[in-house]
Amino acid sequence: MAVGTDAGALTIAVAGNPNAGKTTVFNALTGAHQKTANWPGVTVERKQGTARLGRSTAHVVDLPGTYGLSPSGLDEVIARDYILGGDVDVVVDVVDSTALERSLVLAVELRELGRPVVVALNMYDEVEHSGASIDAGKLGRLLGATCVPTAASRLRGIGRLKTAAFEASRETHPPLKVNYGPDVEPEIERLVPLLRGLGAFAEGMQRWAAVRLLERDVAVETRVASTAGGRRVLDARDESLHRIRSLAGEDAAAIIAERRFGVAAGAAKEALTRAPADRARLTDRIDRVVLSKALGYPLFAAIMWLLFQATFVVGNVGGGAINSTVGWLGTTVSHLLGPGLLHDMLVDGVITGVGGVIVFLPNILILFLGVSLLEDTGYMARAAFLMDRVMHAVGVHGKSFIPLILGFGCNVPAIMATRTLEAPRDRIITSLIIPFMLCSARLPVYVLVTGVFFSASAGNVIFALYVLGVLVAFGVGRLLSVFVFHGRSAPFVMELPPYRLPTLRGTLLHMWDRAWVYLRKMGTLILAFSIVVWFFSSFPRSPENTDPIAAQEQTYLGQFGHAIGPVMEPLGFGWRETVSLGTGFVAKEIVVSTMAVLYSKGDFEALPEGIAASGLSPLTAFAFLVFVLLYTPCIVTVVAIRREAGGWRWALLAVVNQLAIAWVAAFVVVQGGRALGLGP
Amino acid sequence: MRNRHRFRSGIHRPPGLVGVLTLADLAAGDTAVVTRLHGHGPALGRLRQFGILPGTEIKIVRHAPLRDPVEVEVRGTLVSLRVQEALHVVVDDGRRD
Repeated sequence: MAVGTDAGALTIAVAGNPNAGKTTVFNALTGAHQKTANWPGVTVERKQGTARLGRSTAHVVDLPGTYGLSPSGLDEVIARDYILGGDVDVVVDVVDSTALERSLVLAVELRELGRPVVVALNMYDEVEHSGASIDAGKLGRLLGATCVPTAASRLRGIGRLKTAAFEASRETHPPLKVNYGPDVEPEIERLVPLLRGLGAFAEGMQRWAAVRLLERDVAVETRVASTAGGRRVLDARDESLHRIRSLAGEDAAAIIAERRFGVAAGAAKEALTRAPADRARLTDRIDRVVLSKALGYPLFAAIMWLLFQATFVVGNVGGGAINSTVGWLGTTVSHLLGPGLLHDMLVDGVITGVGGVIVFLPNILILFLGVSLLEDTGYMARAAFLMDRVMHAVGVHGKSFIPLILGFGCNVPAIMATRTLEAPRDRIITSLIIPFMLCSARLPVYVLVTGVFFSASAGNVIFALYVLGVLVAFGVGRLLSVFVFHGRSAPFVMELPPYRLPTLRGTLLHMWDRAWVYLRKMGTLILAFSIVVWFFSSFPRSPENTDPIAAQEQTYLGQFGHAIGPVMEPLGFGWRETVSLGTGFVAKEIVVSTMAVLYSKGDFEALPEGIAASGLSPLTAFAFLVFVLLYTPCIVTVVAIRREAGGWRWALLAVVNQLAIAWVAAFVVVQGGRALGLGP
Repeated sequence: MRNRHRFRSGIHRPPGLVGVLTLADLAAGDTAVVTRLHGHGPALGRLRQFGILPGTEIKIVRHAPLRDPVEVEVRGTLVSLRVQEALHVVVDDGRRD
């Protein structure tokens, strides 16, 4: 019989703790064969790929990183629902083998579900390096799951892991039965027949459901409550909880967690044939400096400063080269096509528009490289640790700091990252203040305009704008948390992973993942919009010998700019600035594309001169940058806010709120600056 | 004489925790054993996920420069939590007053 056809392909789910190298194992298993989508109904990223072994094929699905399977957050719910959904043939549990005891708890929970599990003892090279060793065979027998030592970052053990996963799919293991002790076991026995009678769970899963009910697992409770007769089961469960509480003097949930940790700790102790040297020593030595009272914040500020300098100074070198190439391409196409509508559309619309954005790819690559390094080394968690006191004062979680930093890259993935926050209020507040973080899409505008007006101190001006964005974000966050939400923020219980030297491959992959999102957005949305902007800025066409500026004023875009001119006049913006800002609603990069079309009519190299001659003064140019920083986020961000915050009203609030804040801030800059005699 | 345990000031102590030694009261370098988790709620679920359970030994590694949050070592893992959350971890540090 033919095997390895698509219909017969296996499904392997990759589970594991955050920081255990789960994504690295996933990448190693699937190689280049992967694609990224979202989990149904939510915006948590779902990576899927294909693994091949001989003639067999398997779909590999990367589950969100979790410490356990209790639905304390959305990630756990997604992981558990997917495994319980029935499509999964094998679960590969990626374990940080340098923290065996804690990591094995998830393995125990997975084995309780009764699916075949293969444990990847990842980072095994570090275990060996510390002088320890793990008896994988013994551990496998204790857990009822094949254990394979791996070092995914060095691609070690991956072949054996793959083989074990394919083999495990053909075996059946009954669910692991943890003994929950004399106080809890009788209550499980009592609930199992009731649950069997209910018929809401597959045969063999009643014990699992009973344990989860005793843990007050909301998802299982809901499932039971929605089945006919479920209310009676929940009443029986409440009586059980009461009995356990009076007998043991402890919550059932605490006893169950203790027992599970007991099994994991026992297995870890049995399997560790030699104890590791103290692995925390290097991390502790680094943290003594990095988290110290004296140096913690200065180092943090220095790292952020370094990140920005690298992004602008190094990034601009590559940008120059791309700039010349785009200029050359425009000229060449011009020569090849000769005058005509197609020529105008390609040169003035497509090349100028997309070219004006691709120029900034080096900046964005370096920024994402830096962010990837911060995440992969483990420093990002330290940043959250240092910043929680401050973030808490703003009214959000220290973890919110991470999405906020990501907001410097792109607001859209940053808002998606708010999924890691448990409380809806934290998620909403963070989503609403992320757009004030100066995203990389706004950089093109900044680099261009500061280059024209503040060439000597462009870096300082941009840094000031970053700071202004953060301050506004904090202020708005505080206002929202005090006046809109009155609830308390989510728990801040977070692992500080050991420092690790990131691998080149891992960091580059991580960086490429992010840059790809930017490129894809540029390739589709911006290309389409560049053509639209070109159309509105070229039609209706004026007679051949009209003055170019007058011709532009006659276009649809020019008419729009004039129509709302009175509103923008107090800010010192002319119609071209207004039109550029208007088009930025689709994507902030497009502000530059529009400027290129409006100021230099397709000659990208002449754009700085065009802006210099636009009538903006350094003061109004700065107000323009402030406006770009604060006004309505791009449409993709608005959609992301709607999804993450859970409603159009939040998205609408973001749009209206930010327009008002931007207008007021730019007004204060211009009128205040004029009053102080800083410029016209 | 003053109590040997100095209870951390400047935080809101729920009535059940007045005069009770908690993780929030310990200083960097102190080691204690968890005796119970006070109250219930999502924060306790998170603490349990990291194995902060009755009978577990826990060590205070350091406080953040602004004194909050606090970093602890439990089961070989470094975990950070807010002082307000550490307050719900009732501990015994083996010292008798």
